Amino acid sequence: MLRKNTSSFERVEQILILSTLFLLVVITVQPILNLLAISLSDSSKVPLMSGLTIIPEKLSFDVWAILFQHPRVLTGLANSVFIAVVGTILNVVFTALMAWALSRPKLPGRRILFIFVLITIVFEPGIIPDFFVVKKLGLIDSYWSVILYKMVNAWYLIILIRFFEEIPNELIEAVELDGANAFQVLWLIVLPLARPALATITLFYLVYHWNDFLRPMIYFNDQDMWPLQVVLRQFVVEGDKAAMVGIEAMGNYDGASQINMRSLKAGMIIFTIAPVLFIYPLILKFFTKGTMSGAVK
Amino acid sequence: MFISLRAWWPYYVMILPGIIYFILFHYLPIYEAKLAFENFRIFGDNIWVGLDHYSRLMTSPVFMQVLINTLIISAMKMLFVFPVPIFLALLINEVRATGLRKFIQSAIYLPHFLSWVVIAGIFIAALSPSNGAVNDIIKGAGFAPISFMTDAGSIRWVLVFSEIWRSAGWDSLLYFAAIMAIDPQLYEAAEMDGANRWQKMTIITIPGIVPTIATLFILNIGLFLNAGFDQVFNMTNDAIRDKIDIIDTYVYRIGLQTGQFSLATAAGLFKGLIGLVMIVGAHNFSKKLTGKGVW
Amino acid sequence: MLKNTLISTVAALALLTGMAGAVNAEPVPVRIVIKDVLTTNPEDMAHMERIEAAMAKNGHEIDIQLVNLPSSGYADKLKLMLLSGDVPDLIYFQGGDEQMADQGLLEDLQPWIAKTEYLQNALWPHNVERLKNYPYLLYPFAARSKAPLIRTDWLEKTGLAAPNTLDEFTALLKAISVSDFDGDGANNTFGIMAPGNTKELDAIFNQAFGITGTWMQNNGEWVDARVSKEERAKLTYYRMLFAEGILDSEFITKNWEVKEDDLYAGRVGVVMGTAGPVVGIYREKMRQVHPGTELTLLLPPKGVAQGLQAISVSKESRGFALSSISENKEMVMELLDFLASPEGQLMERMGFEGKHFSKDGDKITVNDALGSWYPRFMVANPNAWTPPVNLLSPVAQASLDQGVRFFSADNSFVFPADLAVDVDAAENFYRTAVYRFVSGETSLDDWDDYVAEFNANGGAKLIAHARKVLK
Repeated sequence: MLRKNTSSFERVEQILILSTLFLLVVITVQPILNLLAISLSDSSKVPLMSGLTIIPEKLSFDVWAILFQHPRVLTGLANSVFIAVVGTILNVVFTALMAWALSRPKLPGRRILFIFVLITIVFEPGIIPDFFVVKKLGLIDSYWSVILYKMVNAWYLIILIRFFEEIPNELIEAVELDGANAFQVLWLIVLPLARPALATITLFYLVYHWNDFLRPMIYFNDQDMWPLQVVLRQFVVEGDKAAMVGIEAMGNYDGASQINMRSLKAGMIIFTIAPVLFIYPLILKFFTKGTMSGAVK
Repeated sequence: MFISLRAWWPYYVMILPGIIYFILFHYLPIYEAKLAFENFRIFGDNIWVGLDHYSRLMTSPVFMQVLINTLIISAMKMLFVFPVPIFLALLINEVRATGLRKFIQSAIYLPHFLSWVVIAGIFIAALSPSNGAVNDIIKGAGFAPISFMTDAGSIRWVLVFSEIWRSAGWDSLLYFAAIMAIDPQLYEAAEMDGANRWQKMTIITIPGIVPTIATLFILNIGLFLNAGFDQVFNMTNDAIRDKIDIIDTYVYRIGLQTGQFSLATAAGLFKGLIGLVMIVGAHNFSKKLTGKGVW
Repeated sequence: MLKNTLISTVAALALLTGMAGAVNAEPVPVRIVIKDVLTTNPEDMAHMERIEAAMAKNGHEIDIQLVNLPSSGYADKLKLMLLSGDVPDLIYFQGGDEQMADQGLLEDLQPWIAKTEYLQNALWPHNVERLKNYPYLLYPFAARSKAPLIRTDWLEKTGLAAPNTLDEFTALLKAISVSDFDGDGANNTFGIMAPGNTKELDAIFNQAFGITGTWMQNNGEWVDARVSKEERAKLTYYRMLFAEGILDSEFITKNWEVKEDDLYAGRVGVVMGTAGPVVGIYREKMRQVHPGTELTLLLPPKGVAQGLQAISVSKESRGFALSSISENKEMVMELLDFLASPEGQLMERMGFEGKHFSKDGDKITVNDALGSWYPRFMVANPNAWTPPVNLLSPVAQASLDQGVRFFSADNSFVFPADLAVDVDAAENFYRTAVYRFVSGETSLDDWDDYVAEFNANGGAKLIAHARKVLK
C-alpha cells in the first residue's frame, strides 16, 4: 500500500507501535531463550543460573545428547506427526463442511443444531466419562481415540461459521444461479475466500494435537504409540522421582548425579516447541489481504 | 416444506459426520456423567445418591469464598484479558513491513506452548521481591519492593497478567485473520477520501472484526466458571490461597482427599449448567443490542 | 524367552529331584501392576525372570505377568483400569486405595502375612502399626523421616560445634545468615528454608516445642495440635526466625526444586532432606557443584524434647494391595515372602551381579551402577536382613539411622469422607494463618481470634469427631 504523505505525526505513531511490540517480543522471548541457555549449560553451573540470563554457562550438549539418544524420542516424534497430520486433516475437512452448512441462514433446523453444538462447549463431563465411552467404543490403544477426539471442535466450528457468514451473499447466489451445487460453492467460493480463517483453525487444531498429552497418556498403554509430549513428560517424571522424595523412586534417578533436572526440563520444553516453530511461518503465508476483492470481480 | 427440505439435503450430508461425532464423543460422555448422582461400584450397579455430591460441595465453610473468587477472577479476565489480543491484532496490523510483522507474530505466540508449571516458575522468579527483575525496576525507581505473589491485593492481577502474557499473542491470530478478511477496497475508498490511519482503524477495521469479537465474547461467557485450574494450581501459595481458590482447585483437593470422582463430575455438570444459562443470556442480550448473536 | 527359561529350569529341577510328578507343568499366573515396572524395561524383565526361576527352585511355579502402567498419571490410570473391571492380583497404589477398599476389592493382609515365613519378620515397626489400622496396604520400606543437613565446610566456618539444643541450633542458623560464606559479597544467605510451607520446619522443631502428635492432651481433653499453646510457642519462634532474616523470606513461593538449587548455590545453610537415598543424592549433587564438599547431618534440636515429628501410622499412604477377587492369592503371598527372604532381598537390594555389584570370592564390592538400581518391592527391616556391604554413603546411612532412633508414632487417624470439606477448610485456614503469623502480617497476640476462626472453619467439627475416636 502506497502512502502519499507520511507526516511526522504518523512517523511518531509508527515508532510508538513498533517500540510497544518490540517490548512485547522481548518479554515473551526472553524466558524461552533462558530455557535454551539452561539446557545448553553444564549441569554443575545450572543451580547458579538466574532466570534472566540468556547465555549458557560452560557450554554443554549433554541434555540434548540425552534427548536425541532416548529410544522413544524418535518414535514419539513420528507418532506426534502422524496424529497431528491425520487429525488435523480430518478436523479441518469436517469442521469446514459443517460450518458451511450451518452458515446458511435459511437452513431448516439451524437453530436447534446450534444449540446442540453449544451444549458441548459448556458441558465438559471430564476425563472419566470420556474414558468409559472410549472403552465402550473399543478405541483404547488405538490412534483413533486421540485423532477423533475434538474432530469437530465446537468452538472453532462457530468461529468458522462466523467467517463464512461474512462472505457476501450475492457472490454465493451468483454461483448457485449458474447451477453449482452446495459442495461446489464451498470448494470454489467459500474456502478460497476464507483462507486466513481456515489457516487459523488449521494451526489451532495442529497445535491442539501437538500439545495434547492427557488423552494419549490415558488411552495408550502401549508405549510405542506414545506421542512426543507423553514420552518427554514420562522422561522428565522418571528423572524427577527421587527429588520428588520417594525412597522407592530414587533408583530410577538414572544419571541423576550427572544431569541437572532443571536443565533437562528446559531442553525438553525447547525440543517440543521447535517443530511447531517451523509450521508457523507456513501458516502465516495464508494471511494475505485481498482474497475477498479478488473474487468479487 | 418437503421441497425445501429436499433442496437442502446436501447440507445435511455435510453436517452428518459432525453430528455423529458430537453424539459419540460428547453426548455419550454427558450421559456417562450421570455418575455425578451416583456412588460408583465396581461390583454390581452404582448406587443412586441424587444430589448428595452437590450438598457435600456446598456445605463447606469455604464454598462461598471459592465461588466469589471464581466469579471475581473470571470477571477480571473478561474485562482485562479478553480485549488485549484485539488491540494486539490492531497494532500488528499497523506494522507495514511484512517480514518484521511475521517475526513479531512468531515471537509473541511462543508462550502459548509453555505449560503453567513453567510459566509459574518464570513469574515467581521475575516477581521476587529480593532479586526479581520487576522489583529491581521498582527499587531502581526508588520505591519499596512489592511481594506480588504473597500480597492479597496483587495476586489476582498476577493471574490476569500471566494470562495475558501466555495467550494474548496466540489469541490475536484469530482477530488478525478477521482483519485480513476485510475487503481492501474499503480501505482504498477511505484513503481516497483522505482518511488517516486512526480513522481507517475506527471506521473500517474495528467494525469489520466486531462479529468475531462478539462471537468469542459470548462463547467465553459460557466458560465463565472455568477460571483457569492449571494456572491457579501452579501459582497459588499459602499466603493468598483464600484469594484465588476457585471451584476447580477446590474440587480437585476434595476429590483427592476422598478419592471420589463423582464429586468432580458433579462440579463439572454444575459449571456446565451455569455456563449454558449465561451463554443463552449473552446471546439474547447481544441479539437485542446488535441484532446478531451466535445463532 | 521367559517361558523357555522356565521350562528348562522346571525340567532340570524335575530331573534333579526326581519329583517330576509333583511339579505342576503350568506355572501359576500372577498379574502385577507397579508404577514404572514395565515389560519394556529389560532390567525389570530380567529381575522378574530370576525371581520366577528362584521361586521355581523352591517349588513355587510362578508366572509373573507385568501390567504396563508407566509413571505419568499412574494414580489416575490405575483408578480407571480398576473401575473398568481389570483388576490385577497384586496392585501398587499411590493414593485412591481407600475407595477400592471400601468396595471390598482389597484383601485384609494381616491373616496372610501371619502365615508367611520371612515377610512378617521383614516388616518395619510402622508397617505393623499401620496394618493394624488399615490392613489393605503394605509398604515395606523405611519410614519417611526428614534429616536436617548442612554443608560440612560451612559448619566449620561458623566455628560452632554441631548443635544439640534449640539455642545452639538457633545460634548456628543465625551465624550463617549474618555471614557471607558463599563469598558473593552480598548478605543474602539464609540460615534455613522450607519449600512452600513450614512442614519441613515442623519435622525437626515440633518435638522441641512439645508438639508430640496431631492431637494433644490439654487438661485431660483432646485438642487439635494446630491450636495448642505449644503450637503458639513454635510459631513465635518461627516468627523470630523470619523477622531476624534467618528463615528464607520467600520460602512460601519456593518449591523443592528451588530448595535444592538454593542449597547447592549457597543461598541457604540448612535444609531438610528425606532420610536415606535422597540424602545421598543431595550429597552427590553438592559435590558436583562444589567438588570435595560433604554434607553433615544435624541432630533435631533439643527443647522440651528432642526428636523428629511423629509419623502417622493411620495407614500406608502408598503400597501393595492384594486383590480380593484374585484366584492366586497364595502365590502372590509366596512371591512377597520370597522377596522378604535373604535370597530375595539380595536380588531386590543389590541388583545384578557383574553390573550393580561385583563378587570376588566372598568379597562383594558395589559398582557405580548400583546408583541406578532400586528395590521394586521391598526393603526388609535391618533386623531381618542387612546387605553384605554398605549401600549408602555414610551421611545417607546416618540419616536413616537417625530416623529410626527418633521414630515415634503419631495419633492421627483417617477422617470419614463426609468430613473431607472440613479437613480441607481447616488445613487451608491453618496454613494461611501460619504464614501470616510468621511473616508478621498478623500478630501472635491475636491468637484467640485465630483459634476461634480455626474452629469456625471446620476445626470444631474435627475435634468433636476426634474426641469420639480417641479414648
